[in-house]
Amino acid sequence: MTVINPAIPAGPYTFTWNGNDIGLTEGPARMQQSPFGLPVRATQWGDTIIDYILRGGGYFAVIVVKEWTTNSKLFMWPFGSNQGVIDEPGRLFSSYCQALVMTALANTPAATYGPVTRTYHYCATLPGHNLDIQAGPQERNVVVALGVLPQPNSGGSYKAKFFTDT
Amino acid sequence: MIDQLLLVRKFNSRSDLLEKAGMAGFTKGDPLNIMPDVWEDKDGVSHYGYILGIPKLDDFNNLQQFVKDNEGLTLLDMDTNITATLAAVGLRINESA
Repeated sequence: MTVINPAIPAGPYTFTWNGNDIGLTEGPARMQQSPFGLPVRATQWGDTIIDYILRGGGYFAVIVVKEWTTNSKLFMWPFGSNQGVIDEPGRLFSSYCQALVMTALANTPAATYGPVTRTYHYCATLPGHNLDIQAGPQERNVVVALGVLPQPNSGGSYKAKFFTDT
Repeated sequence: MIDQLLLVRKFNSRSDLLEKAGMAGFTKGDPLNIMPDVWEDKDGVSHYGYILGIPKLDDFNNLQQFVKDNEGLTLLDMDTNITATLAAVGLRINESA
């Protein structure tokens, strides 16, 4: 008799952004990715989509921040931890992006099956995401949606690399 | 010469991995014991690291395909020193392992 021992990578992750610990979080981090494609149709097939022309992809993450510290506030509002100011129009999102490193807790199945670490090399709070910051006799959990920017997968390549898993 | 760092997640390591990857003759130095930067040394090793000096582009392309096809492998450019290469993905060497 043996246990079934399924390969389920359960376990909490900790997070640093720009090398700084963002503290405790609520629930799982959600790592999202989707390919973009232009539907191909032909008169002979009516409105049936007969193929897609692949046109890149988008990568996002959602993390619920629980602590209210300089690091967590900078993570959710990269323009400054006082959060009352947004920078001049015309600045590029990329200039605010920093590396987000997720690390599995040691001795958990997540650290066994991986990723042990996931590094989004360039990410910051997604423009348009509404930070809903609650003030009251309760935990101040803030949902932060992150936009991730790519880098070339290798020199001269137009394959877009958004993260590195280890 | 193409310098690369091959990371092998401990769970996915096996003794013949470098041979299967066609890299057995290209290693530089001993395997490295690697762990996440935020773990404590007592937490142990999460990955083994192999510094590779790959002489030909064909060998490099074959290695890239091998990494794609096998679970638990990561290939990193060794464009700086080993400490910086690991730090960029949240890892460091476990000196006490």
